[in-house]
Amino acid sequence: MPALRKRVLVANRGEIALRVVRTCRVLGLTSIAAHSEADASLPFVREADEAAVLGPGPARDSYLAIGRVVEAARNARADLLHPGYGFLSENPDLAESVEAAGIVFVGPRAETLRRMGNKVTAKEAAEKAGVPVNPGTGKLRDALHAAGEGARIGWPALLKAAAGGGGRGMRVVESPRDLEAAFRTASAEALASFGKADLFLEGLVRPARHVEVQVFGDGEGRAAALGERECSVQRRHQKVLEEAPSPAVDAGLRARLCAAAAALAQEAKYRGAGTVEFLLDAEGRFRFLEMNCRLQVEHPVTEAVLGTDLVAAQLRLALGGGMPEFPPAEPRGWAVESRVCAEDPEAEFAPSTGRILALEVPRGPWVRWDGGYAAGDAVGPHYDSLIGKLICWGATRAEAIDRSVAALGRLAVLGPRTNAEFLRAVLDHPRFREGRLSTSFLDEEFPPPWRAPERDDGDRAIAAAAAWLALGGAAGNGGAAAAEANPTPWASLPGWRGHGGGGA
Amino acid sequence: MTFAGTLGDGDAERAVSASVRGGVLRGTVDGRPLPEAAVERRGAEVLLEAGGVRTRAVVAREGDRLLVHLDGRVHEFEVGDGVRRRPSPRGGRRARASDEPRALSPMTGTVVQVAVKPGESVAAGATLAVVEAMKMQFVVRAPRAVVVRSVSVAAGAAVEIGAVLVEFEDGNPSPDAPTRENAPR
Repeated sequence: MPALRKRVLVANRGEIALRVVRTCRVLGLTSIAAHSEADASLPFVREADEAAVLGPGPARDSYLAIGRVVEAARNARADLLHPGYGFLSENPDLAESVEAAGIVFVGPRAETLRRMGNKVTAKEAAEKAGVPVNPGTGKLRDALHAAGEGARIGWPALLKAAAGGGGRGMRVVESPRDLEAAFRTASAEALASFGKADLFLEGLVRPARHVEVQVFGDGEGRAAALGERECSVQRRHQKVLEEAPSPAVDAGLRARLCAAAAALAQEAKYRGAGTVEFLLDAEGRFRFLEMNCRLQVEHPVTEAVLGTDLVAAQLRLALGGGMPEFPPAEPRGWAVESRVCAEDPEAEFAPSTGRILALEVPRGPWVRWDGGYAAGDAVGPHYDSLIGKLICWGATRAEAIDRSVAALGRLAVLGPRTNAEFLRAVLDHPRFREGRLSTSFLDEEFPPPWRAPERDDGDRAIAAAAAWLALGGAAGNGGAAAAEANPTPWASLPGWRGHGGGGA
Repeated sequence: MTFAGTLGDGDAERAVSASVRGGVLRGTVDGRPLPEAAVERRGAEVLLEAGGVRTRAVVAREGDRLLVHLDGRVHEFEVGDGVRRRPSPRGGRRARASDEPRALSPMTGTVVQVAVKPGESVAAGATLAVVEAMKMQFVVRAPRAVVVRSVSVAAGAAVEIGAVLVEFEDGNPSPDAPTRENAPR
């Protein structure tokens, strides 16, 4: 009798859900995409073996609704639940409810998520494991409490959400004067993003690099450290470009970083894939920052330089296969990831929604595109702005950068505005090329407002537009008739029309 | 196989006429001749060759908005029939920052905060409202010193990109007029 195919509920969306769905296929697992009504036609739903509707578009009614996710997993008779990143991926209540239903949560145990997902208790665990820790405060009651506690660690300091991630609910506080406003906005953002408003303060190291180590544990106390990633290129605490290895880490420092990260993962009896984040100062000293108890957005750069599949490793462990075999944590070549987002870099990176009218993805040796959308899909306002990740490998760092620049030049996303040109400008910046990075690199070298460099190809663009229009553009893709059937913001902007004619 | 109309790129609106016969593009832009080019179109892809220089573009259109991807850059045009003249979104946005009497939502999302009341004087750069989408908050600021005339939205409201948030008139604060930045609270 053939063994029953195991069933995996994918409780996420976009590129990461698609990436999990595809790996399920490789491993012979049945994938079920649990999706919101707004996402029903996205590639991760279309490519999955089965689909289940969670609820309406807003995340709190779908991807953040624990009850609905668990119900979908039960109804789908899932054996495993993969939470992806963000949303409920680090939520101990989800992990607990899922396992109580007899379904394996592809991630750490709920108790680990409670301990390591909270930035305050995670620091205590790091201290116990002998890992150097960035000084910080406990949970803060209010701005006044923060002012008193902050005086201990000194100003400037970083105000952070205890349940945070992705830079949300985070503010640099230069002096106690800024605390009240920072506290108010950060706690509102933390509440909106994570459902918890708790904040704490920690020491701000400037200049510092953000370097993180990929770990993988078997849940029994065995853990491997799989090398580091450099994630210093950030805008408002959101990673923009990541790479592996770090240009600041040599074999000796790598060994020390990996030993510290592995010690923490062992102390936590960590299960599955996780990331230990460090601040690295100019002297090569590192301090523990936080642990991300899930797969990271930027995991592909580690996969590229190690030649491993971290999602397959997660699923194999969850299926009871024990600790997967990993290659030694010695990077082969270099990998760079560019996060392509639906945002307008010339308008302070405001999110840009709308339908993707045409999409061309670069292909070639050592070029990987992890995307969440296809032509015809709409990028809506409910979720984050990531359209896809471009990961390029090279034998050297320079080659990986050259490949990324060329591939971004061929990536065509027509519809929402994207940051692709900005990413190219950053990759081509001499300081990036030289690897002289810190978390303030973008603030220093690309202070807003950013303007795309002048080019003299306007006449060629007009000629291409004229040719396309003359050759039947009006009746072509996304023509006027289609646009009227699906009105877009651009076609119905009273404000802008009014500006020209005073009609609105 | 002809087109006659206008293409606006934010800075200028150009009168364009073009025809393709036998795979050759001929036409004019504001009366000046376009370089004669061999052209081919396959779906969204346009290939041009003029004077030995090849251009490969990916083109898409949504309503009046025409997008041309060329070597990593998306050029935006507004297609007109040559009669109505209106600014392109990009040009409109830049112009708006300096002289529009209202603040518009920069994106489709939810208003999380309205920071001003009608009648209030605020300094240039003061927060008027905060809009959230895609988990990001975007602060809409006063482009210059203004007096708020009306507030069109409330916290919690869903707004489309371009929706009017706050209308105002030029403030001309005398040194002792209270503004949001220095008003006693």
